[in-house]
Amino acid sequence: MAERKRKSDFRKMMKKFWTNPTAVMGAILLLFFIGVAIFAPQIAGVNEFGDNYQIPRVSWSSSPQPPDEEHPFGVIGGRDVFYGVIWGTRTAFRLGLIVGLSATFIGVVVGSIAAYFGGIVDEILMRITDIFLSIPFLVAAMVLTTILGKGLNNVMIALIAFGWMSSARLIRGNILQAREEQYVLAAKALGQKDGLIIIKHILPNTIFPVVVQLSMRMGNYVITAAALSFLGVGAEPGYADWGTILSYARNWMTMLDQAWFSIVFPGTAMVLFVLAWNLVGDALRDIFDPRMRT
Amino acid sequence: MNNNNNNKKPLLSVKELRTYFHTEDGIVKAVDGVSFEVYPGETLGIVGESGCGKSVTALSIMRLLDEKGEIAGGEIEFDDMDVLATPENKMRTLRGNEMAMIFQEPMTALNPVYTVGDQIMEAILLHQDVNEKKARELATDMLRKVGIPEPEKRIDEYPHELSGGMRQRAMIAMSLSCNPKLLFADEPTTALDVTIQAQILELMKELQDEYGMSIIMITHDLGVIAEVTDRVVVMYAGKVVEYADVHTLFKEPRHPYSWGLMNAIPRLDEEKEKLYNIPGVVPDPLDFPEGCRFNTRCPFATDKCKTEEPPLEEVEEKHFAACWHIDKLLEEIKRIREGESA
Repeated sequence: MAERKRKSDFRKMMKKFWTNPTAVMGAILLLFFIGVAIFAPQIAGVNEFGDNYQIPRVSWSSSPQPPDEEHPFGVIGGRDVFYGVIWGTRTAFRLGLIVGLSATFIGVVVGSIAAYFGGIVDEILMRITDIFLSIPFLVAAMVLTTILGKGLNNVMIALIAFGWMSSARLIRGNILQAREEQYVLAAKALGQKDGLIIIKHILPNTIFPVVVQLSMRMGNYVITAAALSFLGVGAEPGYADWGTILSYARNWMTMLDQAWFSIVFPGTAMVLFVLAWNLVGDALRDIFDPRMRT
Repeated sequence: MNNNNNNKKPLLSVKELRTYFHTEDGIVKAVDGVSFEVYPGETLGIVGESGCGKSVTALSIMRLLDEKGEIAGGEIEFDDMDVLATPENKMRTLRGNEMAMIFQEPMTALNPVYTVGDQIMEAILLHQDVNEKKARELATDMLRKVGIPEPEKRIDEYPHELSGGMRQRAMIAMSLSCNPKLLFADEPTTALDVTIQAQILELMKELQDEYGMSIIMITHDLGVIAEVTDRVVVMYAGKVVEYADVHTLFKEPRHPYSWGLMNAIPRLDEEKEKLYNIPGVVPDPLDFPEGCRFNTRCPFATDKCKTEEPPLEEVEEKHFAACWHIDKLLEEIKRIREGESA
């Protein structure tokens, strides 16, 4: 009976999801990207000379070649844009998921500890959070990648190091609010343990906004990473990453008519990727909110 | 209903309880020297205006104060046990099991992300050595007992799918699921509409007859007091001002505050131009007046009231009141009665 009820709840939630046009659009876009990422070797082939995440050199000429049959998205800096965009999807997922999940995890831990212990612990953790927030994000990430050196992994470290604060604040505020709820007092009056009250009663009522925030920001991390790549402190040249392809266009900024394809294709991919996560996040917000379940 | 408490031993006895809150503005003496007893199977009412310390008294007895609250003195004895000396983990086994609580707002007292069944089962699984299947059966029985129709179906519903009255019934089912000896009911009917209020009070009386638990009914509603309680504690500004059985209190109040409360009840059998109201407002808990705390609002207040605090004294058998001028009050009551009969 309970099983059935839960299942029907799940079905109800799914139904709600699939009847929401923006949610469906987001989901389709996201599935499309997942498909592209999974079948990248079939779609764009593999790099026969080494790492698949290195865009193979197809030309030694520095001048861009507009799209043709062999290179449907054109060639810039001697690299095939099509290969970069397709394999870049994998990079985007890897970066978004790792950075998003790690930053959120750190934020949730810091925020929960601050809210639960309160007092001096809260004060110290929140002031540290403030310090991190007071440093302009892009500058901090640039400095850190400069210190750590180029490469996607270092970009991810920089993004995590300066990306956990908003989750920490969000979860802390939510927990502080939920702690005052009467059901928490009611659970205490039933003799429930403090730790279980946090896990069973407080977190389920506070974690959804964090999940929604996570999915909303998943796309943003990719954009920020691209910005770092564009500025030359991100992924190494030739890496299959949307930002890296964009950075090739930097040398052609005054002659964009010759290099438009190196902006349009990775740019479109990025916009759609961010859009997909935002639409899904929006839909999740509507569905997860227990007060909106009917 | 329990008039022969003489030979019974109280289930709960509270002596000179003091609960202080340390706030940024200073110390709030929310409860300041409160004493009363609760006997097995009876209902004790605690009545007073908002902020007089009635809820804090209950939370102190269950030791559920937040970090700002501190029990600064007094004794609480529950079932031959010194509550204030009991370690926290032992307290946890008491809560929900021996003493339970129901709250004013049944919507916020139930967790919105769990079904009512989950929440009742949580209480059962915490205190009884049963498996999940058995707990579910017990929870269904409990829901049936509190008068929820189709309990097998309702058990899987979320709080928001139930009406206010049903939620309060579910809350009662949850608090009674482990058959506690003492139930705190903190304004259980305030958030409900009147017809539902009557049903809930009736249900609580029935369940009390069945289970034999004692109830502490916290309310500001004298109608509820008259309806369900046996004895009553009248609280004002963190102190007990009068303590008597319910009939005596309504017929012969001996404290100007209780007398004022009684006068403020609209009555259908009297014609009055204007309903009596106690002048003034409840004093600021950070800055209670010297002497009798009611002196700022009392029609009989004298200089003595402003300097010396009246003790809670037995004015008649088992009738306690804390006032210097009971004689003045009696004169006033006599005068009004004579005026009425003339």
